[in-house]
Amino acid sequence: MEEEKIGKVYDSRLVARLLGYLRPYRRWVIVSVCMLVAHSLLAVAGPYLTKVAIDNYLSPQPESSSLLDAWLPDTQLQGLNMVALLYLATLAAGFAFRFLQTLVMNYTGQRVMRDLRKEIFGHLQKLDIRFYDRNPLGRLVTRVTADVDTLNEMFTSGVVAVFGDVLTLTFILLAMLNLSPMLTLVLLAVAPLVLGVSIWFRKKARESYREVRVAVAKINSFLQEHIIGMAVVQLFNHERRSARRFDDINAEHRDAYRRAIRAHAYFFPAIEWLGVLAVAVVLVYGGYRVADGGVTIGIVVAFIQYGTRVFRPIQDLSEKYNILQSAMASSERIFELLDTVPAQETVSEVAVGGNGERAGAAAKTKLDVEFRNVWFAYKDEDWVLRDVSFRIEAGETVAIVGHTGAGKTTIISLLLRFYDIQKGKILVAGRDIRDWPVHELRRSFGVVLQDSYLFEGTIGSNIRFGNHEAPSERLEQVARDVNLSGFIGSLAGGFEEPLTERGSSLSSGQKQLIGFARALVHNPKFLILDEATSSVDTDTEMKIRDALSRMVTGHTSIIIAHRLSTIHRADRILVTHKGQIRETGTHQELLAKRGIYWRLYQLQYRDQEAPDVSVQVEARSGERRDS
Amino acid sequence: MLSQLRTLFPYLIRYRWRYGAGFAALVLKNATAASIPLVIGFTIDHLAESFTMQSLFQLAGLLLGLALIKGVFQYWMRWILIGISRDIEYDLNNDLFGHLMRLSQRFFNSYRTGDLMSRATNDMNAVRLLVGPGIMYTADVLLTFVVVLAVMSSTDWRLTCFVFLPIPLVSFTVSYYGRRIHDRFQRVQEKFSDISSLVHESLGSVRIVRAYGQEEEEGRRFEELNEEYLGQNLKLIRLWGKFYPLLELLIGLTYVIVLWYGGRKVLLGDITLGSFVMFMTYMAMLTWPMIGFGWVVNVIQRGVASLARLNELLKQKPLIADSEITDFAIDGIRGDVEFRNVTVYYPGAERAVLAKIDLDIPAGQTLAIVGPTGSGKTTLVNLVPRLIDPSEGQLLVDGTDAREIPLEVLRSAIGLVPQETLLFSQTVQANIAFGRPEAEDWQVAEAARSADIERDVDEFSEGFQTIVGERGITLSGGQKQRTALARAILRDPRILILDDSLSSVDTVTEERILGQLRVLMRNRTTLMISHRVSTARYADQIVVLSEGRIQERGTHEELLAREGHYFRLHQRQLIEEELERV
Repeated sequence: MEEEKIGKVYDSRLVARLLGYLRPYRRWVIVSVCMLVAHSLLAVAGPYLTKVAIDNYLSPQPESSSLLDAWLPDTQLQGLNMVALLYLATLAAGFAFRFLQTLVMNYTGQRVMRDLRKEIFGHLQKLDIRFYDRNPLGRLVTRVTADVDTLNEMFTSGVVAVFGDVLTLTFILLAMLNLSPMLTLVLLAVAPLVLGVSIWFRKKARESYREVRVAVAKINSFLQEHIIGMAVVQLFNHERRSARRFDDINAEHRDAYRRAIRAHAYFFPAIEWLGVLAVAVVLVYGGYRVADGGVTIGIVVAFIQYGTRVFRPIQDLSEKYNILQSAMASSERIFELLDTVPAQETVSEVAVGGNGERAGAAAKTKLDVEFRNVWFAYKDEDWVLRDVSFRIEAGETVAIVGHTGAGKTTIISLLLRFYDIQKGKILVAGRDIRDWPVHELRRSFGVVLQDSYLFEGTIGSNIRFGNHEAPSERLEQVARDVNLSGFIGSLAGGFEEPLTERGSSLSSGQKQLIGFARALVHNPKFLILDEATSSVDTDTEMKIRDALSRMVTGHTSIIIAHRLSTIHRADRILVTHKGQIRETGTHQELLAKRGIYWRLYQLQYRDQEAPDVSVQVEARSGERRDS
Repeated sequence: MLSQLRTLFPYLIRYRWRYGAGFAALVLKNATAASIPLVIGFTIDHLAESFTMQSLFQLAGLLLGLALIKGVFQYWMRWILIGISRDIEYDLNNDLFGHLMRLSQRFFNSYRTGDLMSRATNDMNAVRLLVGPGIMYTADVLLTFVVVLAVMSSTDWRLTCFVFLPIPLVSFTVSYYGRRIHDRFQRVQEKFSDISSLVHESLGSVRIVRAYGQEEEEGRRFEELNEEYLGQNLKLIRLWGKFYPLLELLIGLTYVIVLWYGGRKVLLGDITLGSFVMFMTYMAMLTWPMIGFGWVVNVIQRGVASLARLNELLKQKPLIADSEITDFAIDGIRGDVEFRNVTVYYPGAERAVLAKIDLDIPAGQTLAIVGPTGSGKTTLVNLVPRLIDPSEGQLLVDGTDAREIPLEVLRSAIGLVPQETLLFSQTVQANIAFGRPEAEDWQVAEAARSADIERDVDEFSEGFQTIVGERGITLSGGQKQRTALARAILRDPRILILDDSLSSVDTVTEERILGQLRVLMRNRTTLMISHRVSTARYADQIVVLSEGRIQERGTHEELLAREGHYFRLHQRQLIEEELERV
């Protein structure tokens, strides 16, 4: 999924697939196309009516005839009034058609884009976590947003405009041929020049804009870097030199634009001169034919007006090139994403139709979990877990401790089946988790991750987190359980208080408590907790401790612990070190072993002892003995 | 409005001669352009009578000649007047950047980078549009109207009056719709960024979403915004959809008026057929000025608003700079640093970041600073090179108030390695020589060796000429820190400041670097912030900072004996090393 893939202007495979999205709206597309045809047809009328006015009334030519003669009055003044009215009518009709056509086409285009965005987002919801590990977040966001908007531009201004231009061109040619084939040929002699100048200009403009883009990127990144690093510039007395470097980049930026200005400055006069050339050619040849009666003055005047209109679409067509090119690139990237097959879902879908026995397992109120000789690596053979085995009985609370990078979080990710393991087995309620429907498996867990991941919305909606059925009493109950009701009560909006910028107004302790409440409200059969490391004030600390102890009561729980109080409360502690489980036991047993846990304890938990005097004394005495 | 525009006067005056030339071209272009329809009209009258082919060719030649002259002037008009806008932008860019470099850290803390960038780019461009195309099209449009009006009314003023009726309507339509479309578009953009941030939030929280099986719910949330975005887009389209057809209609109306009213005049014998055609041609010529007028109004409005935002930056006063108390006789520094009762407040914060700090570091000695995050360590060392000034109290260097020392002299005597390493997108060489660009290659290499980065650099494809950053090699955290260290060492500073500068370097490398540094530090005053006791232990003086105050001070042995914060830090690190070895 490269960002800078630019190439084809037209790829029939991609276009066919894109057209597929128009199918639900095909009726509207047809209406829009009809109106486009009508509008293009009306664009031909103006000069033609001018011709009729001149030849029939202003400078009557007995030999001239027009399609409208049958309906037009003979008297000059009435006739002129009639033609003016007709002109007015075509204008009004043209206005209506163009207005409606723009509306219908864009309404359709926007709906197609909405459908496409929905499909992409929906597809992203199905792709596995590994996919997210591989692809930077920004790139995925771009697929849903910017890439679709590029396509929108193609749908609404690119394709339609090209089609409209071609139609207009055709109709004008037909009208001109009808009036005077020879004069048409003479006028068209100028067309290749217009096309040539337009193509030259597009090429120059593309080149200069490429330079401009580079220059703009350069000046922006220089500015950004220096605004962020201004302290370094000032510390190292680099102001004068930075100013000189900026001057160079700034000058480059200016000169890049100068080339673009020059291309424009050549183009507009040139194209306008060609317009006058067309007029001159029409006047000379037209005059010559007027002399021999081949054409009328009205036709000459009409051709002068057609001249300007016939060249506009030719200029426009060369401009659409870029739009089409980038739209092709965007659609290719979008389809590549849509074609990525979700890895685990295919497995789980097979399992959804499984037997009733599994449903029975899920119906239990508490679950037991077992890791049996689990080996896991995120990549190749860089084992993050090596031969990990442990069992958590229903109703038991187990704490996992270990130094950073020991594989604690990985254990949780595997349990939630974010990844599949390479060797061994993970059993939940006695069943291999690969046999569980993914949704059902995950729904049996109540999960609190380190980052509390708050979403835009209200406090209530963040606690519910999709659990719309939960009655508000349940919400209040849960808030009381996790010691949040006091805080929520103090807010003007209560549960309906909106969260700004993903909870930036909340303290980290409050965020953690909301995470707890979220886990509880879902009535989990198994609690998974990755304790946040951020420090909180004593009051909040007590609230969290208290909430935690209430939570684990009556639940099977696995906790990655950072609080000593949590560890104390656990029935068992698993000590991970460098991808293996090295020690298990209770706090006291493990301390007595004087192994890894003892060291971890000294490092991470001992400072938390202060309120608990007895343990501190014990630890101190142990330390003295050691030294 | 005028007071805001005053900023631009010096720039406009600087280019007065070129503006003059540009306007001359503009006037001549308009004069010739206005004569073209006259010739066409004359030719049509000519056709209606008896004529020779020769005269026809002459008229055509005249037409092409006039158009050519017009084209040449049009070229000069665009090239000169739009060109000037890029020159003014260039000048403004330089001046703005120069000004930013004089502003203190307090300024940069109070403006977000994104905000400054948007002013330096978007607002700058709006101002450029004002001084270039804005001025050019205003003059062009007004002049075209005047000239065409003059020529047309000399032929038939009544017809001219009629024809000009829809013109204000066109300009009004453009200006009105232009503004509303701009506003609507802004709202579409806002929804677009809402949708982007939702997608960002949702995909970024994919783990918790999956853990709770909330994929469908997320889909619904997205769906809601998706519909709103659609709604905003449709609203924009309803405006947009009216705008162009309306323009087409109004401009077409002028043709109808010429056709009907002008046609009557031809029938009545008031004007010739040629004049009739001439009027039609003038209408074609006026199409763009009618639209352009409305556009120009909006360009001017936006330009003035943007200029106000730029002025806000330009009028900021540099807070830390040489002043009347600066003693320019001072041209060097020995390296005694003394904090005398120093207190620092940040705007808006109640609690002082540093409170009543007294510290004396004689030249050549080393001070180590330890303490928890947020205790004011970085603020303390930033006072020395005057990145900030004390709110109360005094910083003395060599016994003189630091404010009396020329800023450049003070800073060139200091080598600071900041906590967050910032390297620039240049070569490794240029980054190391950042504070001493005239340094010889061997000196750069030597500094690199002292900072233990030389071996890494030798492994890069282009060695010291390798570009750092996005368009070049991405350095690891440790490599960045060591490069920044080399940058400070190369300055040969009297005062070396290390702000937790080796945090991303592994312990073994740190030991090696510190060994080399100790030699370098022998004759220099050194202030080092550290999280590791192993770094701090050899300092002449160690202070433990907590909540902006000095809690403990003394030598390594003295502090260990106190069994306080420093002692606990020491214990913990011993165990950590042990754990690494298990």
